[in-house]
Amino acid sequence: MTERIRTNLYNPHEQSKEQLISGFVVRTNTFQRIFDDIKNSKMIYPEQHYLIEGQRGMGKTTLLLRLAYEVENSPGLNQWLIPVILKEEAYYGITKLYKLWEEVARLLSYKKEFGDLY
Amino acid sequence: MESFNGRNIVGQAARDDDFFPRPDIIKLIYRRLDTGRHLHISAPRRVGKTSVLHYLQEHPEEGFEFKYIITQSVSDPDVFFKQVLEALKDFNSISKKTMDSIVEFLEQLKLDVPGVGGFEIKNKEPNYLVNCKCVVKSLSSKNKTLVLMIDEFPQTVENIWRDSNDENAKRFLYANRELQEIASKNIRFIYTGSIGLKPLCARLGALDALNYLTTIEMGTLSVNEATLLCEGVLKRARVTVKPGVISYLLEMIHWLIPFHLQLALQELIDESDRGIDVIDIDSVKNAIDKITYRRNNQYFEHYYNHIVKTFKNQPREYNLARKILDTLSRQDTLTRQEIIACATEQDALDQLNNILTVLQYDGYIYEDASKTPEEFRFTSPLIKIWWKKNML
Repeated sequence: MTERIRTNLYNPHEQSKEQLISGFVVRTNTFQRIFDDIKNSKMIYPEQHYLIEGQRGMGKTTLLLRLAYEVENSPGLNQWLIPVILKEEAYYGITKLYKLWEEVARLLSYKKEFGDLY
Repeated sequence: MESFNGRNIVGQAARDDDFFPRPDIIKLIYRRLDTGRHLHISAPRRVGKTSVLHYLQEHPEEGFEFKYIITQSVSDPDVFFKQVLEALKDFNSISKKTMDSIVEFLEQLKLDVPGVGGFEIKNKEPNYLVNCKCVVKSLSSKNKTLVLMIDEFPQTVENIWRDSNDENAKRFLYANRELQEIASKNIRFIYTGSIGLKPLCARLGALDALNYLTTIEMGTLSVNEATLLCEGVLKRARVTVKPGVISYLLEMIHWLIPFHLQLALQELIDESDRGIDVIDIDSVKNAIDKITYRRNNQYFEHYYNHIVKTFKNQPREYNLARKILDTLSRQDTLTRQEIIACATEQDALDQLNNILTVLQYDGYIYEDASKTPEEFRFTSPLIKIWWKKNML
């Protein structure tokens, strides 16, 4: 049990959604600001893109996952917005732009409504 | 002032109510269009040209329809004219029936005479230049002026020049001049881009290719406009600032282009997110410092890359341009005499005028004629700080 918690601690992808949300206690202003921007975006024209930069362990993946889970939990957004989360190891095979879209299609195909996509 | 929602869009074109109103330049564009001329909007990088073009397309005045295309990656004249043709076909004000009959007529022609328009026809593909000429000559709209806006046109010219040769680039410029010349009275063209079109044409010996264009200079925001922009962004972000902070920020930025203001405002917002309750002058100093960190090189590196590209295979010109900018980053000013001395030292006196034209036109430096003797300075303190930090 202790070993599982330890692994969990350093790998946000290993945490459950509830675990991550309840443990997200810092960078809340940054999270809120980005989420408000997503929530209020009309998505008619290209919206503001963000590049989250920081050294290892600063909480970049945690922030991204927190944003993704908030979108999934928001009734106003989850009807039409789908977070697609690529884990770090996925990047090693993405050497061209089409490979990125292929990977996105592969991840979407896990959802029932996108079954035939990949 | 029209609605501005205060959203701090950094780096990309601002659309819809994210666009900070620029009524002066918008009015000027319409005034010039009313005179029947085709236009060239001239301004250095990041002044807001693309955002203005999108605004025109999204909020046209009565009697106008605008279509925006960008040809930055194009290096083949055929591809360029194909894109222009597709855009012309896309105007809503032209009836589909009219357009279909024009297109059908053009397809029946399928000209395959080599050398028509100066470009080689490949595999009986349509001659897109000839087709464009047919369309612009015959298109008419009863109640609208149709304006095709071509963004990054100078980059296209440079791409063609670098990928082929001077002659092809010149031919391309003159082909566009022909389009402007024969266009029906309902069609207008607006060209703009991040690099100077006039210096480029001058280097190609084709300045007369621009004879049909009226140039509109697009400048910086006024102090009042910049203040309103800052206040709007900070209010939406719920960031509190001490009195005098915005004035101080504007003084530090000095060259009041939206992009530099937005970079600084983003840093102040981030500062506030990190727990600073009220932004003060020290926060502004920190923000300016952080903008020019290496991690933000993507915002400024193009100033260096542009010099490298412009003076590729011209080591004397490159060295002189670098010498001028390196020196100006260390000291505030250079007089003309001092610059001439640099040029003599670099054995590049003959090229000096061309180099100064590029540096001034593309927004690196300006000449302060109010001083005696006249002095050259970096246009933007931010670019100066970045250059000193990263290029020396």
